[in-house]
Parts: sequence; structure tokens; C-alpha cells
Amino acid sequence: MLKLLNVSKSYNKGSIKAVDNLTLEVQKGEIFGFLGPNGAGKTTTIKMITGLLENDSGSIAINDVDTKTSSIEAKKQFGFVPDSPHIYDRITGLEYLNFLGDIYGVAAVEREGTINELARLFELEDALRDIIQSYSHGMQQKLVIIGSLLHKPPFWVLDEPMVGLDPRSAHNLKQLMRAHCALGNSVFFSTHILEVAEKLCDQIGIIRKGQLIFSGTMDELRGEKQGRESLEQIFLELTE
Amino acid sequence: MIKHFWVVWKTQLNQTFGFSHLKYLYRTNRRKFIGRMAFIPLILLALLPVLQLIFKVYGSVFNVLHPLGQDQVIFALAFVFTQSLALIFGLFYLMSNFYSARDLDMLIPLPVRPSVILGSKFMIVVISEYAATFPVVLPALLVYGIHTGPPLTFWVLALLITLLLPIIPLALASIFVVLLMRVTNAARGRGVMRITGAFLGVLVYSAIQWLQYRFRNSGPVELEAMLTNPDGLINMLTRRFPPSLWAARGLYNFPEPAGLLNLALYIGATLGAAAFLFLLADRVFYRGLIGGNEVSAKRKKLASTPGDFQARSVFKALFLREWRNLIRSASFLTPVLVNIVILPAAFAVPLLSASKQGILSAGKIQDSDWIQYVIVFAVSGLITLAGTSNSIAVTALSREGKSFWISKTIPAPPFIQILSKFVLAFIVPVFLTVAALTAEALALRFSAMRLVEQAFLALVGSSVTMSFSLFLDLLNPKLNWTDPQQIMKRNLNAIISVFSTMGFVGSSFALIYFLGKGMKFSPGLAYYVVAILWVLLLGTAAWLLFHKAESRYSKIES
Ligand SMILES: Nc1ncnc2c1ncn2[C@@H]1O[C@H](COP(=O)(O)OP(=O)(O)OP(=O)(O)O)[C@@H](O)[C@H]1O
Ligand SMILES: [Mg+2]
Repeated sequence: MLKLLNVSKSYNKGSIKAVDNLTLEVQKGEIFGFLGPNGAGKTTTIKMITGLLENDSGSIAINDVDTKTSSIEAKKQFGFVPDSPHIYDRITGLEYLNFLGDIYGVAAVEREGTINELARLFELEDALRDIIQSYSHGMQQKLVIIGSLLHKPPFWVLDEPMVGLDPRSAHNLKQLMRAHCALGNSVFFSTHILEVAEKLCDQIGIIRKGQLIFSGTMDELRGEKQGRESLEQIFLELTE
Repeated sequence: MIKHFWVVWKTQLNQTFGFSHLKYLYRTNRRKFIGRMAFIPLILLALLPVLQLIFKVYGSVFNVLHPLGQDQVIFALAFVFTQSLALIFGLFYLMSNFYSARDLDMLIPLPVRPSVILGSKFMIVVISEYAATFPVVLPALLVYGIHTGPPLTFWVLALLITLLLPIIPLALASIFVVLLMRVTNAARGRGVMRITGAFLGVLVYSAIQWLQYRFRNSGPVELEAMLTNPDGLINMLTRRFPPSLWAARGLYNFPEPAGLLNLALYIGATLGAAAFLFLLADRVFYRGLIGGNEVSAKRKKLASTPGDFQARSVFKALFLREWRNLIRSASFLTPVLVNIVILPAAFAVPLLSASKQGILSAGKIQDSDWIQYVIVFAVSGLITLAGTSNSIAVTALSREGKSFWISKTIPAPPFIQILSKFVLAFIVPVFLTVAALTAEALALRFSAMRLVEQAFLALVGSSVTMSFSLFLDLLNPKLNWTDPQQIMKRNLNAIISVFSTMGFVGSSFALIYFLGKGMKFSPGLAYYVVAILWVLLLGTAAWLLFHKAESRYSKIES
């Protein structure tokens, strides 16, 4: 579903190497957890996948669509939830969702179904007709989540999606991620919460200083350490 | 209290004028730093022709008034003009500075008095206003000084008076703003009411000025009396604004008692106005402010209506997004409204008074092709200037700010996104063109042909400069803001956009003058030369914009 091949990106004209020759693959139907300490390059990687940043070198393909040569087609393949959900705050939640629906060409009936279902799940129904400025941080986050699923994307990308959500909503989100994959789609998300990664992910990748230092299943990660240590211990050792 | 004031003020100065930012650039990115600094001489250079004109005007005023012994009228002229300018233009600036600045969220929890916060913001506006008042006042003083060689005390005093000039008008405007905010705070639809209130304020002020002017029928007899009476002229000038009179007299008669008295009056009035504002601030500033970010939210389940999930085309959806973002934000909308109101007025008032005095009549205009075409050119130039001066085009991408990630991740081609932004900006010229055409058809009885020519030139001209402005924003958008006001602050694109538009209109006028006077072209021929030239330029600008859209969009980092 996602193929990164030798992707690099540096900031400030090469002085900060944020992502260094990263190669990574996410299969169909898989939840991929992306871990790493602060400043490791997770957000930078996600921004390159979603077209917010141009990669300096290497290639990225989503659902076999190259992001550079057919960027518009590639953008139809994913839904995206950024780490800080800044959205137009002068429009209502419903206007925002309708905007996305129009852009992705989602038919009115389908749109209504998805919005009603997800708004109910996240308890956002009563706020949809208010302007976004009046939303709390978590409510904005939920609105972005709903928007990212509106066109039923094959690939769902989320950057630290649990931050700022209440326990019930975080739980709902995890359910949604599972359900999404059950339909043959894939999820790629970054997180700092190891338990979430442990419980949720089929595959995990650990990045440090822009380089992938581990990629595989949770069992493989434990296997490396003969199952003696807790995940936290392994993570601390690996990223030292 | 004084110490608080100093600390708060210093931080705001730094934030507003970016000293720390410059220092940071100097240390980390020398190239960018030099680029920033290089703009100062460039701007001065661009202003040079305007300054020259101002000097020339004051020079000829001096030559007329000096023999009549009316030197102080020159000062009065400069002072009155400056203070009126500050009053009208400061109003909107003050309003946004006092009430919608993001740093208020940080300042209000501090244990300082409201007057300290408002006062420091007020002083920032005063300093910013110097950029506009110095070019108007200093040339007058220099012209006088060069011709008469006054003592050193004159210069010291002149400088002091100049520095104090914006305070009274800005304090009056602030008092108005603070009260307006207080009164409208509880109201629903506050945003709209406040803009309307500010406009009404300006309107009422202008109306009073106008009435005073009208009722003082200045016939030729009275004019002579005014010139012979030593105080006649200056009284007439400054009747609207006595502090200007005090300042002028104080400066002119300085060491004598009359001078000292007037000076004391001027400084006293300045301090009084400022003190009153500070006192008022402690009482009402917060009450107009708190709840300022509150927006109405019903949080009620509403029955879904049939229109709720209506599907639209991609272009319509994009345009709707642009439209809503613009009209629902007071900071974006205000310049547009100012634009739409002031420009037609600037055009209509001289025309009306000219026709009243019989200089221009519809008959005369119809007899002369040149007059008709000059009107066509002038209106096209004005509409072109209006199109860019409201800065819709030059902030087209910047307005999206931190939500630009949406534009980058949606599968809508940059071409269509840019087009939707262009169409939004195009609304203002279209509106102004329709207004101009109506006036020309009804009042001036222009032929259908002339009207078509008018519409064509005005729309092409504004498209040229708006495409170029949009292109500037595409090259270097300002997305990292937390407060809409920051978009226009130190925005080089906006400066380049306005100056290039002036250059474009100015050089076109020069070309027309040359074609008519030098080459003896007929007006119709001159029109077609200019029209073809503008169409070619439009082709270039549009090509640049849309050709680059794709590759630039993917390079913008957000
Ligand atoms: N806009 C930028 N300009 C310069 N350097 C940047 C920029 N954004 C990120 N960096 C640098 O790139 C590196 C990777 O940052 P990134 O945001 O990708 O980390 P992250 O893994 O998402 O961290 P976190 O867990 O804190 O979110 C860091 O060294 C950071 O300082
Ligand atoms: Mg991050």
C-alpha cells in the first residue's frame, strides 16, 4: 500500500538531516505503527508521504501511485490527520465536511451517511452547525478525523492521533482503525504511546535520527531481546 | 506602573518591529538579513518621486505665503493635514491592534493595569503612524528652514511637535474605538456591528467637516479679507482642528509669550487627551474585550435540512471556501470595504464639484473625445489600483495560514485552486467597474462603445496587476501566523504589489501622454495601443501564474 524507497529530506539547506535514506513498506490490510523519540523524523516522513514536503531524493508510492509524477491521483488514495489540526475556523463543521466532500467528489447520500455515523460516534452531532472557532481542541481533532475518512480512502495516515482525545474517543479511534483495515485498507500512524502500538499494530517501525532502526512485527522485536524485557525497556535501549 | 509600562511596551516594540527576529537572522542567516535590510533603501527610492512632489508643493506654497507674511500657515497646513490623516487611517488600525491581537491572551493574565496594556499598544500605533506622518510634516519644516535659516531652538521644537502630532487624533480615535467596543460587546453579530460602527464614525466625522466647509460660503470678498488679515487664513485652515493652530503658532512665535502660551496649550491638550484615554482604559477597556473571542454556538441538534449535504462542483467548493474565509473575517474584510467605499468617493467628489462649478458638463464631455478617453483611462487606472490595494490577491495563499495543509493534501489541481482565488479577487474590480459604468452611462451619457472600452480596459488592467500580485504570494506566501494582522506586517509582497501597480498605472499614463502630446495620436488610437499592450502583459502575467502554480504548490512547505 505504501512504498518508501531511499527517501531523504534535510532542512536548512542540508544542515539538518531529518530523514536519512528511509526505505519502508506497508502492506494491504495492515496497521503500521511509527515510533521514535522526539525529533526523530516521524512528522517529516508523514509530511513527505502526504505531499506537504517534497522529498530531496528517493520515491514514494501510495497504492502503487507515485506521489511525484501523479500527485493528484496519489492524494485521492489517502486520508490525513495531521499532528496539530489547524482548520479554517470561520466556517461551520458541516461546511468544512461538505467542502471536502465536494473536492473528493463524494455523492450527497454517501456523505450524509458517513458524516452522521462518525459524528454520532464522536459525539459531535450537536456541534456540526456551529463555527469551528467555537470547538475545543479535541473537537477540532475529531472533525479532522471525520473529514479524513469521508472519501473512504484506501490508506489512512495519522500523526499522533491520540494526543488530545478523551479516553472514549481514543478508544473509538482505535476501533475505527481496526475496522478500516478489516475492509482491506491500511493505516499508518505515528505515536509515543507504546501500549497503543503494542495492542494495535501489525507492524511497527522505529526511527531514530532520521534512520529506520527497526521494522517488523512486535514479536520480532521481542524475539530480538528473547522476550526478557518490557517493550519500554526495548524502546529505551534501541533509541539510546 | 511606569516600570510595567516600559516592560510591556519594550516587548511589543520588539514583536512589532522584529528587532529580535532581525538579530536572529543576522546571526543565523546573513543572506536573508541583508535581503531584509536592502529593502529599506529600495522603498525610500520608490518613495523619492512622491517626496519630490511634496517638496515642490510646499515650495510653491512657501513662495506664495512668505511675501504675505503668512509663514505660520505652512506649518498649520502640514499639521492639519497630518492630524486628519492620523485620525481617519488610525481608526481601523487601532481597532485591530486593541482588540484582535493574539498577544492579548498572554497580556491579560499579567498583573498589570488595563491602561498599561492599552497604553503600550497605543504607543506602538503612534510610532507606526510616524511612517505616514513624517513624509507629510518634515518637508514643510525643511522648506521653511532652508529658506529662512531659523535658530537651533526651532529645529528642536519642530521635532518635538512632530513627534507629538499623531497623539491627539489617535487618542480621540482610540476613545471612540474603546467606547464602540464597550457598547457593542454584548450584542450578537458584534463583528459586523463594529465595522459598521467604525465606518459610521468616519462618515459622521467627514460629514461634519463637509458641512462646516459648505456653510462658510467663501466668496472672493471674504478671500481677500482673509489674506489681508494676518490671522484670517490660518484661522480658516485650523478651525477644524485647533491643536494644529496652537502648534503652528507656538512654533512660529516661540520665544515670545504668545508662542509659549500656544505651545503650552498644544502640549497640554496632547497630554490631556492621552491621560483621558488612559483613565478610560482602566474603566472600560477590558469590558469591551472580554468575551471578544466568544462566538455564538448553539450546540443544539438541528433537524437536517435538504441543503445540508448538497454536492457541488470542485470549483464551486473551492470558491465557496475562499469566499467564506474572506467575508467572515473582520481583518480581511475591512480593507475590502474601505476600498469599495473610498475609491468611488475619491472619483465622484471631484467630478461632482467640477460639474457643479460648470467646469465640466455632460455636454462638454460629449463634445470632446479626449475628455471622454481621459476619464476612461483614469477610471481604469483607479480600478486597477483598487484591485491590488485591498490585498485580496497578494494574500490569496497567505490567508490560509496554518490550514494550508488542507490545500496541499486535497486532490484539487493547484491550477483550479489558484483560479478560485483569482476569481475572488476579481469581484472587487467587477463591482467597481459596474459602478463606474452606471455613473458614466447616467451622468455623462457615454456611448455604448465607450462603455465597452471602459469595461474592457478596467478589467484587463486589474487582471494584470492581480495576477502579478497573486504570483508574488505564490512565490513566497506567509503562512506562519497566529493572528490575521500578522499577514500584512512586514509583508514585502504587499509592498512590491502596491508599488508595481503604481508603476504600471503611472507608466501607462506617461505613455498615453506621450502618444497624445508627442505623437499626436487620436485618443481612440492611443486607447488601442494601451489596450493591446495591457492584453500582452496580461498574457505574460497569467502565463507566469498558472504555469508556475503546479511546481510552486508542491514546493511550499507548511
Ligand atoms: N520546519 C523545520 N525547519 C527546520 N528543521 C525542522 C523543521 N521541522 C522539523 N525539523 C527538524 O527535523 C527533525 C525531525 O523533526 P520531526 O518533526 O520530523 O520529528 P518527530 O519525529 O515528528 O518528533 P516529535 O515526536 O517531537 O513529533 C528535527 O531535528 C527537527 O528539529
Ligand atoms: Mg512529530
